[in-house]
Amino acid sequence: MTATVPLQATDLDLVRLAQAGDLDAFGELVERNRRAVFRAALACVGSAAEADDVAQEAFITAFRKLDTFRGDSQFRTWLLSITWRKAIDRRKSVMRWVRLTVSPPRDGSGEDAYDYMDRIPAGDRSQEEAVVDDELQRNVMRLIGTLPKKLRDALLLAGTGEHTYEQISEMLGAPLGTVKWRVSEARRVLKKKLTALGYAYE
Amino acid sequence: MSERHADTTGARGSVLDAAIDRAVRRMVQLDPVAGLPRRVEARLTTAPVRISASRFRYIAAAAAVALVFVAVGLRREDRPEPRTAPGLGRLAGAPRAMSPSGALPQPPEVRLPAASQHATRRQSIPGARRAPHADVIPMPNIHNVFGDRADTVAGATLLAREGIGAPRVVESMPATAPIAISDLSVPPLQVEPLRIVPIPGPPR
Repeated sequence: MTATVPLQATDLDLVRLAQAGDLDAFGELVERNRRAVFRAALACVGSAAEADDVAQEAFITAFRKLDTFRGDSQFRTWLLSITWRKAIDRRKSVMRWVRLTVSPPRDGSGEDAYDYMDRIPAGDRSQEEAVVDDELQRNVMRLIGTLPKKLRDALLLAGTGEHTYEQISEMLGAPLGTVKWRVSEARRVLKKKLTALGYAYE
Repeated sequence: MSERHADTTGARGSVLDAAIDRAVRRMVQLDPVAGLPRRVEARLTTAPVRISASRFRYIAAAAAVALVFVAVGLRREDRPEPRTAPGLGRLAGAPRAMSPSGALPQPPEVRLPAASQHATRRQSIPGARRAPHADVIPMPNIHNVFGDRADTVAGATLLAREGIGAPRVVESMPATAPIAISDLSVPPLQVEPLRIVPIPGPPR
């Protein structure tokens, strides 16, 4: 899919080629942005399988609307905005609620899922410390799930390692300062709840 | 590139900050399944028509509005409305009484019973939206429902008001032999005296 695309081409170059009907150029754009798109969707829907679906839909929509991209902003920012709208639609959809009710996710992305590797005690900590730490992790993940959506979305998007605050601000449609405040507020609320559960603050 | 989210899991971060960062990473720092570009390309070439969530909401709202209209329409059709029957005076052969002013008095409205209302409702609703029947059912003409006594019975068309002159009823029945009525004879009622019979009790 990327045989004829020069590696040093910028995103804008690839967009121009894709607008001219070059599927290989668009494939290179997918390859470059797939992780950012997938993680943004994952932060919203919370399931890897659904995030994969959302990512595919976002790329397809972006390809069909490529003519409307004028290059005023970065292609990734524009693509992430499409992704976030798709993910929000998915999160609100009735069919998703029905699917989750009928068959809960088994892809390891639920709040009860956790890495088996994390359960293996590290060399520099005892087994008891590892168990306590694992329990803390699960409590934190559970509490993140109980945060208000605005705080949770900002916290998870900031934690993906793929998005800048400016991109998060574009996705959420909120000012930059508001996004930063939401992340800080989410952490404050989480620490307050963890302290109430008996975990030491410092 | 601009500012990225700062990780607070360094030495200065608290234990809870580190726990929050680790939990967030475990939740969102996953990679997509391999082959995403290939799947996207496959869907671009053979993209099925899918109804998005927003479009589904519009369709559902439109269906709900249509359902409301249908329900309102059905309720309007089922609403009982008073029906008026044609006056007896309009039947062929029946004489019409004239009011003092010369105008024809209108017959009183006759309310049909519920069963007959139900039977004739769809045919006589003025604002009914049903298309009229194209077939015409031929009905026999009724010329004189009173037989030979035409123009002799007019009481049914008169209003019970003073000052309205009713045409004189002319008896035109043919002379028949008088009917002999014999007296009824009822035999006198005879009542026998009551007798009280003691009921035998249980033996002591």
